[in-house]
Amino acid sequence: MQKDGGEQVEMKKEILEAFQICDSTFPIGTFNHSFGMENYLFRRVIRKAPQFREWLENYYRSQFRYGEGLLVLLCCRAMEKDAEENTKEDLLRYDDLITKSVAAAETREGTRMIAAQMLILIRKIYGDTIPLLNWYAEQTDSGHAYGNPAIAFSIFAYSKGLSCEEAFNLYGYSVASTLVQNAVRSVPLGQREGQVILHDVIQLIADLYEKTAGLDEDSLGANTPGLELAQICHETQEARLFMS
Amino acid sequence: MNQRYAGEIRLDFTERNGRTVASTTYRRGNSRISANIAEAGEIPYYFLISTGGGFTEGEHYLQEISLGDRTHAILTTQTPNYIYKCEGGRLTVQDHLVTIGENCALEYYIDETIPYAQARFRQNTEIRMEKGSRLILTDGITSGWSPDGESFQYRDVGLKTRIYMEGELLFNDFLLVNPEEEEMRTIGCFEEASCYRSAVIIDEAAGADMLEKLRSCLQTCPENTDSVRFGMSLLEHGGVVLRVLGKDPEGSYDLVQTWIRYYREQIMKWKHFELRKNR
Repeated sequence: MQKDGGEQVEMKKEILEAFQICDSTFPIGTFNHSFGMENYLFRRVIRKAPQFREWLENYYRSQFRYGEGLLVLLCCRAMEKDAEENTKEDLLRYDDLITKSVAAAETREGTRMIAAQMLILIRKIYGDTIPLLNWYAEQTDSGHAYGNPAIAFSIFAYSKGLSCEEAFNLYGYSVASTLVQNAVRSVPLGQREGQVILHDVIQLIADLYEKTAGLDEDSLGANTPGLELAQICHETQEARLFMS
Repeated sequence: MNQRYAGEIRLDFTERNGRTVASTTYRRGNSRISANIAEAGEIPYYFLISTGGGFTEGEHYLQEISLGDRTHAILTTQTPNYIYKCEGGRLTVQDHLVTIGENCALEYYIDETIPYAQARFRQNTEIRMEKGSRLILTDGITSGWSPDGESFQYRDVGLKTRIYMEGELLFNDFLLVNPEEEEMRTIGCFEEASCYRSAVIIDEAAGADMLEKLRSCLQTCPENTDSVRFGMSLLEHGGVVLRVLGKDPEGSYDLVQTWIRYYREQIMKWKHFELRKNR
């Protein structure tokens, strides 16, 4: 953020614009995906707020940190340091690597669907003003990329002048707020309890940024057994509210 | 070959008159290769052995395996892979570099890793395949060993496998277990389990039909007990993966073997053979 008064106002507007994309009501289908949480509900491992909190925090410590969280940092760095052609090459490699790191077919499919919706909606709002985002949408449409919402968001956030850390935190908040809303509908979890958990996850995301900033591409896609198995088992689960 | 490795194995297989033969069986240091085991008939079948009984802190091991076109080989570790304590915090490392030519089959049964208290370990497996080839790969990790019998006393273990088909990444399979930073008994980590196992089949024909068959084979098998939880899913292209969390190493081992036997014998129509070996 700039200290100069005029710049400050400009940046605030851009933070708000990024926040709009991160709002859990931004209609890109995220409300359809529990990323394995519903399998724990089905098995009655998650019953109330404490177990949901445990799942959510572990989701952040492993799958978010080494997955979409690290992906945001890698994408932002690639846009900061590289010439355009190299940036594109890096983004395509990350898109491939993150997709191939996910064993659960439903989770890959859900991620792709959210990315496609996000790209459509950002472009509806901003038209053709973000060239790299247009390029990424073309790559996904033509089958040269799978599509990942963390990549799409990073491109958008970078175009709005956000730092890597701001993009990481905002994207992390966006995923958490959606998962909390999904839990409120399904766990069941009170709206107030949900907000307390979300607030604590904000601190966790900030801590994770410190721990994740030093990682490189080699760590991308690392996973933890239980989270992944739940995502795999959701595929054959009988009663389902969510698509993943 | 290089003195910096505590143990090295190099195994090359080539086709001669329609049969697979091992054209190179090189070993050095703490690594050994068994004689060919006759169990699998015409298919070469070798045990890969660590003479130290396990890996000690800071040691680096290397296995290089190559299959020439139209070959079929079976490899397995002789025992679980014990990783001894790393009091100085230095990593113990094992690298597997595997190249597989066209129309081959490699069965690579890596036993589970058993890290001792304070152990740190990285296993990096890179498998480069060419078209028409198949792969069966197993792997796993347990809650480890410690003098007081407590589980998850190790520091951090990463098992990373990258599989490429004709230069394209098929699967980046990276399990990272970090009991030093995370509470292993919580939701999303190991929960109630003490053993994690994975089996991957790479086969161009892997699709919804094969997945359905493999699912029904485990649904009804006697190894499907309360002590194991498992699931399987299709990779983006030409592969299927099985993950198992078990309360004991044996039950999860038997389940994985049943799954693989079904693929080998019912889908591939390969001849039955017994993998082992005492457990």
